[in-house]
Amino acid sequence: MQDKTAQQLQQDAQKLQQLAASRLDAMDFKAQLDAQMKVALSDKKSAQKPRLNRSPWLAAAAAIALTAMAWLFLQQPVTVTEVGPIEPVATAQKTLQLDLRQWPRAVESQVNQPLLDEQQAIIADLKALKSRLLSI
Amino acid sequence: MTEQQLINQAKQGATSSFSQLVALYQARLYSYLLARCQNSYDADDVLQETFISAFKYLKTYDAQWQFSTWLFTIARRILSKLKVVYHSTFEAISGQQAAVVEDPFEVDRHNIWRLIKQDLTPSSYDVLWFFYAEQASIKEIAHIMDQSESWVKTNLHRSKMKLSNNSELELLLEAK
Repeated sequence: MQDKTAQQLQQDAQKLQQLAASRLDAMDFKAQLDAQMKVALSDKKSAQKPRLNRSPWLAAAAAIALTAMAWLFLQQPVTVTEVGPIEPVATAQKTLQLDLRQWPRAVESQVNQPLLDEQQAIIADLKALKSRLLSI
Repeated sequence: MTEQQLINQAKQGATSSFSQLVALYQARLYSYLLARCQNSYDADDVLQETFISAFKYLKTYDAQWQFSTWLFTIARRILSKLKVVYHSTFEAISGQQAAVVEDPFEVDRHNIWRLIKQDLTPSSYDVLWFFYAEQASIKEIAHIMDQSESWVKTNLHRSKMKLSNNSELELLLEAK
């Protein structure tokens, strides 16, 4: 590149710098930046403040809970013989046997009753499981 | 007070020292941004963001580089972020480039940097700016651009070649 071009590049850059300086004065950049810096500084300070660390509290709570569970277990030890398999109440239902002569009166009870029975049996099984779990 | 003393005080949290540093570099940084951004509003935002970032992360400043080099490095990173935001918002919504408002060269339409901006890629433009306007060394430019020194030299050479073949630039220089 010619010297003239290089010289012109420097001169025009200086012109832009003068333009920049006048614009900065006009928009009061310093005041704007000071306000932003204050915000940044307060953010920095709040980030440095010691915050309550919850992990020691959680650890203490867990230790207390475990001690209580261990104490309960020692008071009422559960053996394998006590916790035997649960005999399920729910059994496979017979296939639907519809008497067409009684149709349609009996159809509702014939369809719904086995389902209700099965539902009750499942609820009974769940209750038994729940009581076993709570007693461990 | 020397620049290094100001930096050390600012590192301790002295905002007045940092304000003095800002006063030293704001015009240089803003002239680069005015010429580089699509509009003066972006230049304002990037300038402010650059100084805020510099203030926040002043402790990471490495004194082996000039303070201006560090500031320009931050400014370039923010500029590239801004470009990503533009691409992902304005262009995606409207399918057009962001509207050009208040062209910084409006007051100086015959400024040589305006012509160069149209002719070179942003990276080549930056290299040329740092070399001629900032008179930074190749090493410093390589650091700002996050490239090798040989990359900077090659880029500079290509830019010069391209500009020497630009007839419009020749006319402009003759007119001046």
